[in-house]
Amino acid sequence: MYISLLQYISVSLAAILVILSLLLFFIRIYKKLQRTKKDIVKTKTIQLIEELVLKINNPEYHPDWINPNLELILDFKKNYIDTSEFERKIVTHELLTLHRSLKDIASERIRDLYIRLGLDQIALNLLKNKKSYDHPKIIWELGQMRIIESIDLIKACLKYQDDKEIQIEASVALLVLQIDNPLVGIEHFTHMNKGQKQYFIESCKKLDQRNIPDFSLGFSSTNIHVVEICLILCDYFKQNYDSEIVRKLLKSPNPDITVAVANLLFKTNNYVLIKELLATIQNIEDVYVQVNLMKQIKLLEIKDLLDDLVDVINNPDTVDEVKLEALRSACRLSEKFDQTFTLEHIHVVDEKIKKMFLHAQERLI
Amino acid sequence: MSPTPTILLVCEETILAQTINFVLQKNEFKILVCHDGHTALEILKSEPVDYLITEILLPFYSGFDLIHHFVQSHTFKNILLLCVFENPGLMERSLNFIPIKQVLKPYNLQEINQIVKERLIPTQYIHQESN
Repeated sequence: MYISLLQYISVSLAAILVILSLLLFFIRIYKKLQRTKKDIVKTKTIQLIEELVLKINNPEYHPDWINPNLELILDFKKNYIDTSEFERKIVTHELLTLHRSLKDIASERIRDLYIRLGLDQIALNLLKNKKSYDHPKIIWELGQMRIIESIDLIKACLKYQDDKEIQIEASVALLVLQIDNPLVGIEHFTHMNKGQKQYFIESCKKLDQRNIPDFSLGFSSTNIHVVEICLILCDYFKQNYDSEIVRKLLKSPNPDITVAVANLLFKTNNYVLIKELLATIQNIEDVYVQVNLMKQIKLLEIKDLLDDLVDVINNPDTVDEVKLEALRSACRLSEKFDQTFTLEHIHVVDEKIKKMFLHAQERLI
Repeated sequence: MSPTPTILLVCEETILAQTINFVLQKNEFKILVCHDGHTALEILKSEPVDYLITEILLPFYSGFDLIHHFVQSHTFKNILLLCVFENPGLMERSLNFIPIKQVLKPYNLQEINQIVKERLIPTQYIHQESN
């Protein structure tokens, strides 16, 4: 009885081992086949692009360029788009990669090819299907390929309260698609935490620079998230802005906006407004923000700011941490431009200020 | 430099590498294509390369590692960087007489072709003349 039980167990174990080995074997074969299939589809896509997009020597773009090649496109569509989802995804990925990497005519032709292969309609249908898990990816795809037909569907995605990722991707896509009111998507957000804001900004950074809107349009928005994001993106994409509107933002009670304004001013060396920012630095509630701004001033190396720093030090409302940073910045600027900056410049010289000055001068802190 | 200039093109995305390769091939250059830093380094060690075209972010080794090796081991130091962002520090490297050109994404294929041709075709012509 005991022996037969042992035999039974060992036979069962051996059977399980064989089944598992076979399973592993088939999985490996399946994966290898998929890789081969993937390589074939990639090669075919590259061949199609070479044939249709790169071999054309005409440097002028004409929307009808694709018509003589319709048969080739329909053939490719029949073999690789309509038959399997796996192959369609590979083709879509390859076209999107190339479209994002190239500019001018080549990029426009790839977009035409994407549309002629019917990939835009497939993406629209997938977006209509509420059970699909690929919505953020599809929204990005439609935005990148500037499929205007998708605007209404993407706007509807802004209502997905439970899925912030979809909402953010939808508002990023609308920046490109909704040319008359590109900020309609961000305006939709009444509340955004820091993580969501960062996600939004990082998504925008991936946008094609050819299609980005003028972010300074958002400076006068009543939504503080829009103002902050637009300030950051205006700075990132090195766009021009109206100094008068930014001047008004200097009075904003929101420290995040102050930081974004300061970064924009520092990057663009707008020292007229930097002087104004220094004059009102005591109004910023967050001392940490004030200290950081002072630290950044030190890196700017603008000679004219020395007097403004002295004013900050002399102001009785300035807190000690900020005074120390202002003293350090003033010492650095005076060193850099061979100017004399001594304790005589400061009106109220008590022991504390003297100590701070010495520390700042000798860089003891 | 050999009569047929050799270009090493290192680009992670296969489709982009093939596209740039297709455009450059019209000039009858010998083009070696690879998609990661490790393979590129192996090629640099074994083959004489006249022009290095590389992205910065690559698997295993970065584009800067490749440039470092290329500069140390090759006489002709023609480099084209395919960048996503501007690299202001490159000017400092260029001052050390290493001409590093850069093109920003999205790339203009004709521009890449033009930059490579400008560096390689005149020297090729001179080489043939001297023979």
